[in-house]
Amino acid sequence: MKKLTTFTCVSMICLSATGQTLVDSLKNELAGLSSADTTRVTLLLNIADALVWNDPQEALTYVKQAARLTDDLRWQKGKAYALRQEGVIYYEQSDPTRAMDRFHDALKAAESLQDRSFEASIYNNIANIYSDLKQYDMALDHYRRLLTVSEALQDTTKIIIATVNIASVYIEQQQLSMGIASLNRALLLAQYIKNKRFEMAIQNNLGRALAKRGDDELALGHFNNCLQLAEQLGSDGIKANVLNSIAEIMFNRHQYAQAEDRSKEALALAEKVAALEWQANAWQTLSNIHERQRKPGEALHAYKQFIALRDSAVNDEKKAEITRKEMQFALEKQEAAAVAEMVRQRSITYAVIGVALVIMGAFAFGWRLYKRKRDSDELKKIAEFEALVADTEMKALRAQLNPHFIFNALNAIGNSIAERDFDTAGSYLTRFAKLIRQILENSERKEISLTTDLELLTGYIQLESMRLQGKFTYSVDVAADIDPENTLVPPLIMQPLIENSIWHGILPKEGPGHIQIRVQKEEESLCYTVEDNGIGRTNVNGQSATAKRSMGIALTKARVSIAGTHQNKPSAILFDDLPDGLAVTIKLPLSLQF
Amino acid sequence: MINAVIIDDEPHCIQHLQRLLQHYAQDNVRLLGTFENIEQGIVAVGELKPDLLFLDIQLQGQTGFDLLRQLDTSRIAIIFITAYDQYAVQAFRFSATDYLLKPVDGDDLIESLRKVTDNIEKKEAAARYELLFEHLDYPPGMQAKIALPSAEGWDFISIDNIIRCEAQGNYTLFILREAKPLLVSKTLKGYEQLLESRGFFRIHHAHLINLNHINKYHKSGFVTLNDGSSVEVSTRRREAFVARLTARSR
Repeated sequence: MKKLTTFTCVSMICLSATGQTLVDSLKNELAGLSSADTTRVTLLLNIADALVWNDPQEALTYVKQAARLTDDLRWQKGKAYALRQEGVIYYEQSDPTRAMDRFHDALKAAESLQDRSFEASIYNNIANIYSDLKQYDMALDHYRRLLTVSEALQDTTKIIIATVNIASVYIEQQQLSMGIASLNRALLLAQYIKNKRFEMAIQNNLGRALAKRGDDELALGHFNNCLQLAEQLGSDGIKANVLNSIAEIMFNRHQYAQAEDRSKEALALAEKVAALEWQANAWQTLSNIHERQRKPGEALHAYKQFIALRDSAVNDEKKAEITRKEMQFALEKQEAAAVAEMVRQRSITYAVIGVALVIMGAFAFGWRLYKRKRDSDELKKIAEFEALVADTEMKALRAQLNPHFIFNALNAIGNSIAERDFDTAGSYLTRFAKLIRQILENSERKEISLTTDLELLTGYIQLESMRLQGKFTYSVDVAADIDPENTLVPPLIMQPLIENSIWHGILPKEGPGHIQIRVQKEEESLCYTVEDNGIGRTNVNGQSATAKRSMGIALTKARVSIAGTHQNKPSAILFDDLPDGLAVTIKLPLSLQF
Repeated sequence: MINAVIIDDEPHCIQHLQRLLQHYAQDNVRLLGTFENIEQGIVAVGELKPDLLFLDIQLQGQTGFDLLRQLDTSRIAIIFITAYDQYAVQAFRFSATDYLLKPVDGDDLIESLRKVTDNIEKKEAAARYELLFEHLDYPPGMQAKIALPSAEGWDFISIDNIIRCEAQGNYTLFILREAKPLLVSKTLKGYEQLLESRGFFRIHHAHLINLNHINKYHKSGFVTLNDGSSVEVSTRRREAFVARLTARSR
């Protein structure tokens, strides 16, 4: 889109191309002046204006002279004009920051002058800078101010400039229809005031915009008009430009011969005015044309030329781009300075928040990983624990229904029958059946009330007592501070211990024995004790007795440990060797139903 | 004198019961006969017109219930006998049907005979057997009733209509939907065992509630039920209660 903005350049070239002769005559005139008055200032500025394109540094010295003189004279209007001229010089030196400063100063200086035409011209300068910086909204705003003022002043030239520049902005922003409409309006005005240079530039821009939109016929018409005007005005550069555009259109229409003619014409003219970019464009078009004409050798040659020229052109373009970036950077830096501290503060805050967020994020992520791991470990542990529980419960059930116990019971019943003691046999049988039923019903439960558990235990003890015919007596003692209905225990957890006491404590002993079951409360623990006055663990037959005892106890230990784990509280199994017998206490977490 | 008949397919069971009757109830029970299958049993009941029937549940591939379905139960008391059948036992308890477990214990037999003598066994018999069949034929959770003993006889209450049960000493107060509360002379614990498989939960020493009637659970530790009453959840039951509620809502 660079090409369309050439309008401003082209028009400037047109307007300031009055040449070295003008500078010389002005300098002569200056030399003839001895007074330091407004005439001198005007003259200095005119010289500077004439020098802008050829020698901006020298132009700057003239402007500075003029500025000093206006200060001495306290001539506000002269000062404003000097500032504007300085701005124009900086702009041409690609120093938009300073240029912008000067233009704004000039506006301020012109405030009291009520010179609206002057203000309008500065709006155009400012708008050009914004347009270069691609800040199109600001550019449009200032071009429109120029347009409004120019319309009020009925300054057709400035109206045309404003309209064309507005059109350029539209086209830059791809609003082609808007741009074309503006250009058409500008064209009418240029034709009206018979400004052929303007008309030529507008025709070219219109042609490009229409070609871009795909209206080849209309575009060609405008290009041809432009060509005629360029011919009249002797502008070879424009001719080269337009001819290449026409060649591109021909190429797109597959009219390769015509396209080639136009391209070659364009190339010749571009070489004549030494415009690298236009030469490159012409070579590119030629290369494309030759390719289609199946002339690979020529196509390659053209392409090489194009590449070579493009690189140098692109270098220019790059420079322009870098300049543009620098311009933008400088302007932004200036703007930024005003809010720098605020932004700095804000960035510190953001940085702190950012860092905090990152840390928190990392922490959350880490935590999630950790938690996931922990959860899976936990689940695994729970699963393992559940398996252990199930396994233990099953073993516990089998232990309670110890085959020894069952067959001993059956044997005892059978024995009673053989001895014709049917009452004992019947009583033994029903008790046995009741106990088995109760065990089956309650073993499935994790916990049963102490009342029920003691019923089961005494049922068991009674059967064994009956079978052993008065070999031992038993008693049950529940502490007064325990509510057996509301206290929960794992079902029959004491049974293996009682079995051990009977079999390995009382039976080997000579004479009658006694088994006492005690339930006591100790802080948050329930102490379930079975005490016998049997042979104890350290008897001479100790080895075998201990080994047998340990079988049932391993299982009980596992159940006690599970009971503790379920409630996450300590549990234990304690042995107390008495002088006469053994006391085993199971310490369970106190578990109440309500 | 109670005229009784035994129907059981295992002779040793019959003999055992005979011995027990001789031993414990010689004076008030006269055994008219014993039979080993359903066909004989039906004929015998029709001809002998006993007051009391001891009926085994497992009868050569059929069940005692099949026989019961063919009997006019308005004039006969029945005591079921079973070895080990939790499912049937549940049904007996819901319908307040009398039953004995094998091997029959003498004390249990005496208690059952006392009920027959007091004519408790015959009261509302048809309705209670109907309820028994309902519990036997349909899986738990279906619309079912429970037979609750009252001063006059039995009340049949739809389990769905029980909002909650409250312990009052050895009695249980049933709070019902759209009906007056019922006071029943049995402990709450017994009903807890019966009803916990039917969506009831013991939230407190004194309270058994129907989870279907919960309106709101306050974390401060009480539930509001559909009848507007608020009941405390004891501290120790809260965890299990919440676990039960969440398990239901899944």
